[in-house]
Amino acid sequence: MAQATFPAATMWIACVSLALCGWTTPLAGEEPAWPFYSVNDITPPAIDGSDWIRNEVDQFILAKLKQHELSPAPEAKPRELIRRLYFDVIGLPPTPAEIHDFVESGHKTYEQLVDQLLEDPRYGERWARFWLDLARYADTAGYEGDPDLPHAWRYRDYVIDAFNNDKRYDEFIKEQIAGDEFEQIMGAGELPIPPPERIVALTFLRLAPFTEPRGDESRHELLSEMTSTVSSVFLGLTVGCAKCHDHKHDQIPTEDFYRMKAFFSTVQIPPPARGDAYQIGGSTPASFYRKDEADWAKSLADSLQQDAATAAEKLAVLKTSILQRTHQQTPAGAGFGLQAMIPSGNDYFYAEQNINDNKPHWSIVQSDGKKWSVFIDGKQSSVGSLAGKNRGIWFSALDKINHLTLGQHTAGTGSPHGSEHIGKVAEILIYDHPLSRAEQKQLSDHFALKTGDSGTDKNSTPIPRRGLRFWLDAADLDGDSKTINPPSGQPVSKWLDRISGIELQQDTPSLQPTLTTLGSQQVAAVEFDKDFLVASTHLASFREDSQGSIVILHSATHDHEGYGLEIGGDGQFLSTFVNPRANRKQDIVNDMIKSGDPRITREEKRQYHFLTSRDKFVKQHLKRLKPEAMSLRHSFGPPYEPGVPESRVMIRGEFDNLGERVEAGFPSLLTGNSDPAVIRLDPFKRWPTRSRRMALAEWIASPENPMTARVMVNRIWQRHFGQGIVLTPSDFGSLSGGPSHQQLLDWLAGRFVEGNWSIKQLHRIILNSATYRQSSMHGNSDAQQLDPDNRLLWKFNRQRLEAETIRDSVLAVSGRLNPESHGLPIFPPLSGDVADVVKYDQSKWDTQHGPEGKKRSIYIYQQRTLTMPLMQTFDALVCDESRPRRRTSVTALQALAMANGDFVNEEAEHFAEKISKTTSQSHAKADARELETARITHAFEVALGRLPTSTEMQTLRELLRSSSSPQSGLTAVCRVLLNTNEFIHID
Amino acid sequence: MNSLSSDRRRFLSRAFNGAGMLGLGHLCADDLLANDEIRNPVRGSNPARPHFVRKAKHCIFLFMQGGVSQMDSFDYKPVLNQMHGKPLPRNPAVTGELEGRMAFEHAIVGSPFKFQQYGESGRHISELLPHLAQHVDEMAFVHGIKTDNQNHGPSTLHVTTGSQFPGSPSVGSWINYGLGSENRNMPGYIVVQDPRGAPVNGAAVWGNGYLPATHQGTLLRPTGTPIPNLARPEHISPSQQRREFDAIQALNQEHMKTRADNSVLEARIKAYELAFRMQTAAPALVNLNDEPKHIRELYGLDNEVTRNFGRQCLLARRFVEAGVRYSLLVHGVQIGRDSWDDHGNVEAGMKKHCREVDLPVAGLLADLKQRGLLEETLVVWASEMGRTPFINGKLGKTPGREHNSQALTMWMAGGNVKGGATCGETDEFSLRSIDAPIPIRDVHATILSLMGLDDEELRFLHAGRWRQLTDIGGSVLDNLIA
Repeated sequence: MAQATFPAATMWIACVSLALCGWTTPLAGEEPAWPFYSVNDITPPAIDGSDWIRNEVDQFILAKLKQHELSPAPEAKPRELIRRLYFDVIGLPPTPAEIHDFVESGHKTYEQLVDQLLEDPRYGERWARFWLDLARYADTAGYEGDPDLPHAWRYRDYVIDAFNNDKRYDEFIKEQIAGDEFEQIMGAGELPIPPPERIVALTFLRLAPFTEPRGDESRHELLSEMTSTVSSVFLGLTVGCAKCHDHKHDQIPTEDFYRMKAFFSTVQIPPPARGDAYQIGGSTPASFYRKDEADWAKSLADSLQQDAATAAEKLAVLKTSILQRTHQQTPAGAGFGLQAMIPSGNDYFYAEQNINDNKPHWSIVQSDGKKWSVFIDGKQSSVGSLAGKNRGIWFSALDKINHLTLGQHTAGTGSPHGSEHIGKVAEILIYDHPLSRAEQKQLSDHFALKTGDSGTDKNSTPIPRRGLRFWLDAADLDGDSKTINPPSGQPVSKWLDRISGIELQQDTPSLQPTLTTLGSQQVAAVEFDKDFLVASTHLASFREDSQGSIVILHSATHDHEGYGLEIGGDGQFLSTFVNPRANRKQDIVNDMIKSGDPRITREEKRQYHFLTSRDKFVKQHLKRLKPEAMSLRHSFGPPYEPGVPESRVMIRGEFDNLGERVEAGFPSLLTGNSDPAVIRLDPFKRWPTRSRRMALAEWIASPENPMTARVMVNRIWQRHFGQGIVLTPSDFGSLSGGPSHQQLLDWLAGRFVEGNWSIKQLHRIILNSATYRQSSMHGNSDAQQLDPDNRLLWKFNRQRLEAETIRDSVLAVSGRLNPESHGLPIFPPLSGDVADVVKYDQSKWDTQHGPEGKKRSIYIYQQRTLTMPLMQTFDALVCDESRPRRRTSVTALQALAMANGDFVNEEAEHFAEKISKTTSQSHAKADARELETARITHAFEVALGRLPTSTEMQTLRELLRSSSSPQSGLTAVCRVLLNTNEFIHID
Repeated sequence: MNSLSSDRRRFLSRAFNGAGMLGLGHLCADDLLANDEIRNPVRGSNPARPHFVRKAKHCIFLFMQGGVSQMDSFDYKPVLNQMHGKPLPRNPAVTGELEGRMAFEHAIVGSPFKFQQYGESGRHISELLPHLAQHVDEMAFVHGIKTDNQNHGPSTLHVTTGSQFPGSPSVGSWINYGLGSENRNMPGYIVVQDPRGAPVNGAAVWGNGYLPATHQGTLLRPTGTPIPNLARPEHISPSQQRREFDAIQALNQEHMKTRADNSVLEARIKAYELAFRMQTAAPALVNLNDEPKHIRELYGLDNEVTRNFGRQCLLARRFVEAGVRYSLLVHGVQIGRDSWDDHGNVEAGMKKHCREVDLPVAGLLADLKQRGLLEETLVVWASEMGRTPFINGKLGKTPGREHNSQALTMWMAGGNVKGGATCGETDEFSLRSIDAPIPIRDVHATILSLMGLDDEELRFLHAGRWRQLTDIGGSVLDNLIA
């Protein structure tokens, strides 16, 4: 068992004097200075004749106030108190009903309210956050690529549970430092597997930022980071300074850093999973242990998989709907053309004819062997461009013809080649001569009757038959007029040419186009969407032609679209198309979205990004849902793994600059000696690598440890009052400035340990004190002069809400807070175009616009290279190192975020809708003016927990009336309320 | 007990009452009420000021992401061409990562580029940088700079924040902390990243670390509204917004009446006023439409290749004019062909990267000079590391170069920089420094010094330690300073 001894230290340290607080530097002597000795019994100072005192805390506070001839502020009003308690304990505002219940009905005492809130599961969601700041919690590793730590979230849930279940703090410490070393090993047999909760707890040691490993150097850095984090979080000692040199201010020699680091020397970090490009280290199996967690994980995984499967379908539907809508809005740009990629060059003809209207058009491209001409819907194209020097070359100019395809462009290869061809092809005719006017007229009549409204008999005008070499008619897929075509919607695997008998076919189902219809007459057509049909051309009789015509009946839905007939081989080809631009576009919709096409709505863009990235995100989520933890263990030791390595000082902190040998031991500042710690091995010494961290953890979690309880008590106090009794919660050394109420801190530390390290009990003592219940509105010019920072607590400190609480409160007020607790990280929408700017990071942010993205802020994905801007503006940061305290800044960027940001604006609208709805019901018979008053009153009450004064009512009424409609006026009122000082400051 | 908070209030009331002094965005640039964990005696609530007199008031930090090949740009090493394809001679003094790399098969890669001497200093500059070469006499070079890590992530942080671990304030944060805002119309620290993507580590490169949040770099958006949430929502008209702001302020005034100690509440009221006015002022600053043709040409704005960085450089000049203290311009992204990380085909890569930045940076120097701003602006060129004179493995047809954290080249110009000066020298292969390598902290101390700040004085008490940009203190490279 670790020696938990704390003899009188013989050293003292120089401390900054804080005379006002009565903290004086001890002179050099035998007694260790505060706080480096164990907590003694403290008797609260006796105070005569004060009815202000509610518990011992107040005795300490009042005694000190009296010393300075100050008196406490009056008690805050019940309405202020309930609001203060709600925000402080559960991090959310009370509802008007809850306020009424407490303030008006008097059914519940203050103490009962405290108890009730401490038992509320939302308590853990609020208080875990401060521990996560200390634990430098994040869901990614930071650095290059900022890879995901897929199972880190389980630690977050562990911490929430620990607070909600009031886990003993000593247990909490031991689980996080040595969760794998609890079980006693009395004999032979295998190493016991720790319970999953403790495996998860050990994530604490794995949360440092991490980048590509570099052998011993990385190990040194990781273990050093564990050492300094453990020390500052649990002991309030900044031993990290001693990594490179003796601590400049506290008695922490460099050896002590390495003696402490030696407790971690047998840590075994799981090697990275196969395929992990960033090599951030692997995970450890840890089954789901929370109630119903395994079922939840399974059903979520199932639904995610389902989600990924349907995403592809939804994407296709979305694309179609975008294409259909956009062409209607701007029927411009598309035309018909012909391209000949031949040995003498790439020639093409293109006529812009606005044919992207989804209606049937028929086009003729023909050459008389000298020059090309194009006719669209029977009219010769007068506009258009002719590029290259087309000398009327026809099929014979192609050296080799070995494919004939229809649909997607192949660039002469015969295989689909990257370009998008979408469209409907109904009929293709190839003639061996340029068509005469009469023949064209005949075709025109044929198509007009077939597709238009003028005729009823679709086949009444026959097509010209002279010189017809090739006739693909979608109405007759098999080339046999006696058999009936398959119904619309069927995939087309074969399409037989009526004249030559050439068969175009497609055996790959995913490349098969489908049968569809065209125009008002429902002409049979074949719909291509990146699909194509291919034929062997050796039977084709047009090989020798130097003149001829290609006729196509087709439709196009938008201006990027292209599809066509292609004949060619070996990179040479002759093809028709609807738009040449299609030849360099991969994906039309994607292209429109990327180029910021104004015709794409925001919702469509959102949907598109959501659906296209689904697969990747689902895989990521599925990984997170595996029963694993970012944990570690002690090495097995010889003969399987390395034993206990020699520990040495690393001079100046350099891993390859070895100094003297050290043994694992506790800081001499606290023990008064540099003796090695006693590490209790199993009786057979089978696992010599085991129990090192447990020795450290037990020493830290010992009631006699002078630091542990004091440091934690001060942290809790700090969160309640806005500042600690010691101002620097992670540094109780000489730079801390000392405690404002040393006796009180010691007394609380004593109570904390006696009370089985119960954090809730500690809260109760603090919250029930008269000190806590003081008003913050109090002005006291004497006190202000003497103690402007209110360290003596002559009033309560007004506090600004933390970033998380601001977001949660906005959602609570708008009625859209998703109360679900625990689970995977959430990805709320990022404001503005942040995601566009930080392109690399966007790949990890699975934006959730629905309710899952509206859970409480503690569940937000903690991405080290991207703090959510709203959070960052209000002083939250994804932690790279342990953060003992948040700052509270006041900036114009906060005002911009709250007034202009998407989040607040969206929630203000919902807030207003909620208010309209509830007041319409409650004031069904009210006239317009009464309803207006009721709405403003109700909104005010929901947001600020009180009724408006007449001046406030007047201000908001004027605002509401100046807006264009009552509803937009109410939204403005709601937006204004969310932007007030009162909304984010707690009295 | 100290009475800094009452000082703060006095300062506040001065600032707020001196109407003319208080510009737009004051609170954007400066958090007047940061409740620093520790009352920092270095700065505390006092308006910041330099430690000693220097000409430079502004700094433009040009960061080339990926690791610029120094022997193909500024560090002329003809021996490499003579030994092209051969291995490096054994050198027992080589340590660390380089030792490992040299233990493997490798081949020297001669520079594919011609070098020519320029200016009075006669410095050799690669043919890739013909425009920058015209300014060689303005520039002072540092060769053989060493960072502690040869991976992109940590070394980028080391160069931009002084520590290879995340969580430390960036150079610009320190300078803003030390000097405060000059003109309070804009944030004191603006970042314009490559429009093609983010640098490695993302926002950590311009993070404020443990310094107050007000000192973090404000990332300028490449398109749309330049500053987050600057644009009023479309459905709210200006007059409607004015009415809403008035209502907010009316409620806030009402709220304040019954409460003592109002400094924070007052500050927030001001913040809303400033935010409102910033909505029109900030977009004007980034609107380049009013720049004349010859300026557009100077920065290469109308050329596809130079347009991106040209825009970044021109913005930086406008920021200088607007009194922005520190501008960080990032060229290159963390991975792929737009990164300077030319492991393969250093010839093609360097051609591409240099063409993108040569004209714009030269244009920036020329423009600053012709406006008399170069005197008061320190321009720094940096990358996270240099590259090796060899390729690991076979030479191949299009060889590249590997990481080299021991031979980074940087240059500075403007302010009190002594043009034509050089500090440090690499060996004949540009593998490492001939003498002791120059640690990046020395360069940081020099940058601070050129901005009028003393590295040893510019400190912040964090987690029990007085922290500074250079961690353990850097030595100023005196011969770079005029």
